[in-house]
Amino acid sequence: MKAQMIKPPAELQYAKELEVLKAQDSHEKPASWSLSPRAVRTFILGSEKPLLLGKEKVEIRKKFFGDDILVEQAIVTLAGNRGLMLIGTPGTAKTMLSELLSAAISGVSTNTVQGTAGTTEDMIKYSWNYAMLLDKGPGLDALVPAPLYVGMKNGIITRFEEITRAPQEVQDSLISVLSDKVLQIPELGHEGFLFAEPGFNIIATANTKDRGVNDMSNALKRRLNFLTIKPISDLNMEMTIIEQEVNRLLTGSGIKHKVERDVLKVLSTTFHELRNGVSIEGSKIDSPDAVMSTAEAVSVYYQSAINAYYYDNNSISMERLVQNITGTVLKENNEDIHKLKGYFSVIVKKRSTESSLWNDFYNGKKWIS
Amino acid sequence: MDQLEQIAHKALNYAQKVLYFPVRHHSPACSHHLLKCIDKYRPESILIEGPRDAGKLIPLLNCSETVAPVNIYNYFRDTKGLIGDKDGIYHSYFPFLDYSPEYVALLEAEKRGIESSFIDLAYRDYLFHVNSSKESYNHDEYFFHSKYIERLCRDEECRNFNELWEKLFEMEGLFMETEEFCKTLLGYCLCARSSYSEKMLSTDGTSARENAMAEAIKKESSLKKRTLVVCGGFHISGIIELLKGDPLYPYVPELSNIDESAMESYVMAGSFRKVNQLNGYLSGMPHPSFYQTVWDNIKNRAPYSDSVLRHIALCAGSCRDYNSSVSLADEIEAYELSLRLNRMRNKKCPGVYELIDSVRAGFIKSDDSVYRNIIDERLFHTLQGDRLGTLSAKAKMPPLVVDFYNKVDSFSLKISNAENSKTLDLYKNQKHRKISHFFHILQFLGNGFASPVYGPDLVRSSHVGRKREKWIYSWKETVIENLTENSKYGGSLYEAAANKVLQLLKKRTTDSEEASRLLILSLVMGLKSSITTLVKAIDFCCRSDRSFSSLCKCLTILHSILENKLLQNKGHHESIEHLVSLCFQRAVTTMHSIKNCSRKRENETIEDLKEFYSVILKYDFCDRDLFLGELHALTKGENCNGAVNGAACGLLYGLKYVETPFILKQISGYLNASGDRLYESAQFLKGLFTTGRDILFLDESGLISGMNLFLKEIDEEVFLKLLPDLKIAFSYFTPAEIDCLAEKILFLFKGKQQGRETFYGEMNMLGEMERDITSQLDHWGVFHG
Repeated sequence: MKAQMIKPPAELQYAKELEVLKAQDSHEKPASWSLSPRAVRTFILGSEKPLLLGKEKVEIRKKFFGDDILVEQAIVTLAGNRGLMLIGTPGTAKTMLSELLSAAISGVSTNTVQGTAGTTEDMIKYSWNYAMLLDKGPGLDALVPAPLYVGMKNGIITRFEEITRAPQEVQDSLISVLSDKVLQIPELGHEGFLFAEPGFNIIATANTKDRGVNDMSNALKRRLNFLTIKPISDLNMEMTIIEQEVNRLLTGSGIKHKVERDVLKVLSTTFHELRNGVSIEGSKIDSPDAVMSTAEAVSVYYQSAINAYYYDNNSISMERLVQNITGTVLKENNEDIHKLKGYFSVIVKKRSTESSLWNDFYNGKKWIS
Repeated sequence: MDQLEQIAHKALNYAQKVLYFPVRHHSPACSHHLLKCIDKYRPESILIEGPRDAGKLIPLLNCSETVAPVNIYNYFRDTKGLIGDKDGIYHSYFPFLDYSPEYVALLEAEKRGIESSFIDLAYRDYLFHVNSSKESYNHDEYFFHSKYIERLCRDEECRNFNELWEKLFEMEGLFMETEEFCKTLLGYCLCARSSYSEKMLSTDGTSARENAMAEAIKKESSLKKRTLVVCGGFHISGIIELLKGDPLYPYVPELSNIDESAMESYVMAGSFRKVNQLNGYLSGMPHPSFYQTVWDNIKNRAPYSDSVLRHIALCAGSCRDYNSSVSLADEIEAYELSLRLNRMRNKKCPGVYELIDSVRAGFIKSDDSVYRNIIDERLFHTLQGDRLGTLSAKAKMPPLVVDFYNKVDSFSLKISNAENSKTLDLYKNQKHRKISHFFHILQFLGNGFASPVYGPDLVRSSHVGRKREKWIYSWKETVIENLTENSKYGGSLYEAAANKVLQLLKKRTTDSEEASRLLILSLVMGLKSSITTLVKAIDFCCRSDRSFSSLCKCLTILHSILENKLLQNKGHHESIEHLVSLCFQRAVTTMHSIKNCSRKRENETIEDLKEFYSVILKYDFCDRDLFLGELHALTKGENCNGAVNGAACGLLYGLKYVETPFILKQISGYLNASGDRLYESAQFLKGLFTTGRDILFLDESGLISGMNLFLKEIDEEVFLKLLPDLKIAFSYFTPAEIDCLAEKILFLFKGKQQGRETFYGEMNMLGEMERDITSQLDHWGVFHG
């Protein structure tokens, strides 16, 4: 079943790691948690030594790079009374962290609501099977549980992705649930109360670019702990992540391509510099409005690798790389294209005299339009 | 481990004549166990790692009126150049908090009637062996920087050394027996020491210090049955090794003929702010208020949890004072988070890092960096605390402080926390001028007693025409702290300021601008005794300075000294005139260097040139032909910066060295240039209009029509690149000149009468448009400037 999935959920992808951690977990667990907070930390931040599952050595690899303390803050928040709000610029692995936390704490990461402009309250709480409703009247048989209901009933995490994209009145339906840990179902009369089982909590994510779409009420803010995930500041670490993710995607799509480290370095450097608005040498750069996240860099390399595999003898062409970068930069507004051109004219041009790869990269400038 | 067993056996044996107690500066856990150790060992004498020459201050430190934080402040004026340069000035601090083991040892010794003394190198001797300006004896850097400690931080999942220390020693240490605690600390220090070679320890003065301490221990142990040594854990193995031989106090040069006032030690009142390691003071302690609370409750059941809880509440209150909506529920959440973090991190109790992480997670409700910064700033302020130390009335005051009080008295100034003001008539009242000197000196010494409200700023050449000066002054605790720190410069305010000026001068051996600024500053402070030295120094600087800009500014400053009545000094008028002449010659000979000045500096350079010209016109001894020759050389040849070329042309034209055709030819050269040189045309005009804008009004110049043609021909992209320089170029014109210029331009286009009508018609139309836009923006509620 796992092999047929494009992207298996974290609990399947890391099933063995979760199994060994559970087997060896001797620390105290909050009620209904699959793992102790300590083991959840190890699952996300990795362990230097492999753990033994029977005779098999299972390596727990680091899955979230950047701020270890933030991971600890997130775990202990979920062990408490408040929900967790992960915010940050797009592509900073908020969703991934949310998924890993859910998989480690509840053993399931798929109990998820996706916030959109069209999200309604019944998509979060519950809705009705109208045929049964008409046939038997309101009752639990006719009730169709939504992720919040499922989370409360089973004592597991409910993930709310991109919460600020949902209208504020829909967001606010979480207030009473987070406060009193009870969901009222008026249609069921005096039996219409669902009390949350221990282990229930909410992980919401929001990206800072969408803050303006729908603001969040102070009442809801007070019931959530906010943790901000910053883009990765270390270039080498970013390269490692891109390589790891690209390998995962390539394996998933059956493409046999060995990641070219020197090409990866050019790509990571470009994204890193455009995002930070300053070159490695300290020159100021106009940052494009487009999201220049690690996730976008992964996507650009993956796209370039597919091109290479099918059209270019499995060797990445720098021109294709420039084309794919241009596609990423062009997402927000046309002004960004001038900023990318400016980056090539000043920074890349200077480096083109220092290495042939940067020279090939610079020659790809003609595709920026 | 064998080495640890051996050292521990030797150091921590209660049956021996000498017992070594390892400490880290400002550690509540060390202090807690030290008290237990003293109680158990009952020493006859306690030897403490501290500057030997500050031993005379122990009674003052022990005095019941003295309240920590306090500092031992040492200074040394190296009049003979024993350490480094002759007349070098050095100082150091040795801070004590309530929970500093050294301070706890002193107080406990006093309480029990035990002799106590400092055994480290005297400050002057320490400097001699370090051969640099060390401001601290403290050796925490040994703890921070070692590969072993980096590795340990990683293994223990601690973000830095301070968290590691708190976890392993401050928290776990409280649950250990004293002997176990000391042994663990010794083991840790042995590992840290293994990263340092003998040579490194010798170079940084550690070996000399350990020799001095070993010598004192040997002497004392021959007289007493039980001697307790309280010193850094890092040194104990070194000292024990030295005691196997016959340690001697390290060699230092003879002290004879060194003025007693050249070195002294004082006790100064300190503050948590100053002792906070996070403010850059490495000998200090991070989060002093947090650990003070831990120390105050150390005998209670849970000192750390109490401190965490107290500081969460203090921080929340402080955030609310800054309009941050932190609720009681947030405080509860933060405390619960800190407990859960503690359990997950497997620590004995929640510490300051759990507090920081939980406050950040529980209080911050946005990714807004301003809001986050307010919470962070309040949090770290709370952890630092506001506590100030106090000194006993018996504390000896440095002569500088005495001089300050005498002056305050003689000038009838008030010593109160309330804000007082003083308006000074600088020209008519001699006493007021002296008060002005006094305030300027205090300001120069960085003392916060007085600050100016208005008055002439002669150093920066602004408001120089003002006759009166107004100051506000008020007493603050830091006034005396600052004066004590400045005691290293001298025993009176005038002497301290003059010495500080000389120290600054040493650092600027070729910068004539800075040297002349120090001269004018000295005159403003009334430091007559420094003038001769400064004049000599400026003479030297001018001869070595190769910067036209610096020499120009020096010339302007010297000129302002000669011009200003307040600064005039008959005794030095001639020598300053001589400096003006020298400065002029040097500036003229370096003028060629501005030919290639960068775009970044061109505005400053053309202003310098203009200023230089206006000053030399006032002195007959400045050779104008020499100046004109150099100016002309700037306009010849290739690659001269456009703005500099323009400014030089303007000056040459003003001085009638060149005629109109020469200037027109130059302008034409720029306006008809090709490629990138075309961009220099606006630079040239900017330079030209800075120094000789009259040429634009000459009808025969045809300059306006030439510029018109030029602007018509260039495309928009080029025009936009030229625009910033063109804007500056036309900013030099007076309103009357602009009006005249506008007339000429209108005439060029439409003929005189028609031009004016069109102009006013267009202006009216623009006015109406602006009104419409403003009213629409108001209607939409959009802010507009």
